[in-house]
Amino acid sequence: MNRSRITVLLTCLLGSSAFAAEPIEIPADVKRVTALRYPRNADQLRLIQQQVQRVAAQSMPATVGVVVGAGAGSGVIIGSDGLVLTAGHVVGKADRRAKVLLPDGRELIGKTLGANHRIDAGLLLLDNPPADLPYLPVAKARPKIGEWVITLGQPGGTLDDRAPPLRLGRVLGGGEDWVCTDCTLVGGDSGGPLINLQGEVLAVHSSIGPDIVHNFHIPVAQIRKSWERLLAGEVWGNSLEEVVSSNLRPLMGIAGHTQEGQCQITEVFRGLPAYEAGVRPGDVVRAVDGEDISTFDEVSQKVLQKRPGQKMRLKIERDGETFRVEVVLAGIGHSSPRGEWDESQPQEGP
Amino acid sequence: MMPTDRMPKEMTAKNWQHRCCVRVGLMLLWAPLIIVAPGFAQETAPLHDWEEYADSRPFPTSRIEIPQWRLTDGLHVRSAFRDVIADVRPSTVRVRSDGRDTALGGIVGADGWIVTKASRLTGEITCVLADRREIEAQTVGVNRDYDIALLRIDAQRLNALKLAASPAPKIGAWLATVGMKRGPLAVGVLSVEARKIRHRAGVLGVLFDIDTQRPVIMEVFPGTAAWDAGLKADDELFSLNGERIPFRRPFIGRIREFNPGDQIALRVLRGDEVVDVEALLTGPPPGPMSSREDFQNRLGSLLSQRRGGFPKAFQHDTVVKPSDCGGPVVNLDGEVVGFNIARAGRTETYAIPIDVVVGLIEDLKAASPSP
Repeated sequence: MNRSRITVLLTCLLGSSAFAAEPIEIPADVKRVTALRYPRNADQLRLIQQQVQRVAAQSMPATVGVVVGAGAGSGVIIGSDGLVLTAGHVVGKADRRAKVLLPDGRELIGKTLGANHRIDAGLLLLDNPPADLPYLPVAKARPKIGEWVITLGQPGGTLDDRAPPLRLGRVLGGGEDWVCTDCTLVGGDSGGPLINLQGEVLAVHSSIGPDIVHNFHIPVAQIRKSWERLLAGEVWGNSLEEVVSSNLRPLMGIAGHTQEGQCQITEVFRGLPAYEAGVRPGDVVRAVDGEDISTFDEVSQKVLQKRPGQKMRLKIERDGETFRVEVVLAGIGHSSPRGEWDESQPQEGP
Repeated sequence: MMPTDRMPKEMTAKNWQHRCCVRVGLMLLWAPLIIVAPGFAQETAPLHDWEEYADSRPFPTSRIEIPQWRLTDGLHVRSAFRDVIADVRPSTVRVRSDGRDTALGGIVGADGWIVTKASRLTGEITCVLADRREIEAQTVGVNRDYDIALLRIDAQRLNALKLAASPAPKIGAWLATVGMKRGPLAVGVLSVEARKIRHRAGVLGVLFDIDTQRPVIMEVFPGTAAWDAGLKADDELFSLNGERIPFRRPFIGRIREFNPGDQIALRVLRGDEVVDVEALLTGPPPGPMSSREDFQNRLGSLLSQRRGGFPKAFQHDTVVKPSDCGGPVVNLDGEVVGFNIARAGRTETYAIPIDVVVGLIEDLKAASPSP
């Protein structure tokens, strides 16, 4: 990467000209509705809809598909200078060739800059940004709980005949490094923008969990803290090598809580070991491997002490009856506990 | 705390604690959202290691509790649509196959015409009306391309939907999926305007012997269409829906032209016998992690067996169960803009646009024998 170019870029960014795209104003009547806990009637829903459609019209042209090596993700253009914000795991390493696919069919070429793998943020820079390059403003504020947000991206990869699908949701929760929404995400969305009702990029998509409301994004406010390092092409956090050698985490596939001194199971995820063993939501776990337990944390502790593939014996109480089940723990990164299909999938079709 | 008179009816004090919170956290499986082309997997190596990679990042390990009213598709937001769907609700029916809820449908003619999703119909079909009457239904016509069926029930003076070719909804427009209750079953927004949805090949579930050009089965995989149809190793496939196909490659190609959920008739040579079987094709093997993309798409919701190959459908982000497809979708003006046809992935539900459905109804009625 050319050093003088970085300096120019930095100057632009710090001089705020790179974020020149203007936020969209939120009319007073829309503000009144979004300040409510939830909309009460069709008129209020319509006000939200109007604002969402204004934001969608401005945001879709700047939402891009990103192909780096064999990986396909998404991204969002955030500067007329061709800066593209995406996820760290889309960028991978610095100085890789990146293909950036605009919804209008244009295919632009760029290079990866830096990646912060600790929080999963990355930047790309287009080689020759065209003069009419669409781009979005970037939010300064952190996501607010309950805020209405829009998700764009290229789930499943970029398709010629499909604009980036829009999804609407709200900020459900968050921490320093992450924000959780009920905007659904899936493979290919990585790096795509989470946008607020002012049309500003609020976060980039990162990962999902088993439930439909487990959609995780990285707040731009956090990414800004390492902006200069990213621009300079620095890559840090867990490198791929570290990841490969790291241990698998054992996984039972349940969620629960402690209620009245009992470990209550609230969710059992389909296809994961606990489900296969017959554990169901509402069950109370009385003992693990012969030891009595009374909190959900104790169960978590016991799982984390195990290795994937090991067995755990659970004593379960359901409808006043007590029984035992044996769960063979899976590991994240393992294929499934019953993976016969993967091996024996017909090669010759159908 | 919100005033109790505003509280949706379904939410009583007793189940408040259960229903008001969604928990996010502990012991979840984080799946990063990148697609890695299998052919290049070597180059970037860690196709299977992304999960660990994600796991090493600072995501929540403690539980956060989310009040129901904050959810976009929660009871409270859904309640705001009650007036919007009030006129459509009496025209919505529950479609049952052999006593099981398998789809929703919409009344499109006051003298007993009902539109629903075709591939969900098996065995004896009944329709439960808004007034709770359950009436036997006959399938009078099916359009396989759109997976739309026209049913007829023996009833008069029903509340038929007012179907008009209203302007197609714009991206970001609220859409409500109407069920049998006062509030909608689920709500979402328009994600992508109507387009052709790619065909997904039907799968029989056999491995062919590649030492011969004839379609001879080497292995039948458990839990597949072929397994359920009783096909066996060494069976030679003779014909498909009466069409003689003597070679392996064309036979495979012909099967793949069908959709998951389609039923095909196979004539099979087994030793000296000739055996006729019917097979209900599936999609690619539904093992828990058959492919990464498939796995992620199944996270958090079940998918429709037939979810591709529609000549024209719009995409919305409403989370709908496969057994709740087939019914009307309305916009904020209470107009029916389409019929849900498939839950297709974690982020997508497809609906056939109303102008297409209106045309199909006319065609199917015209082709049906008069009662």
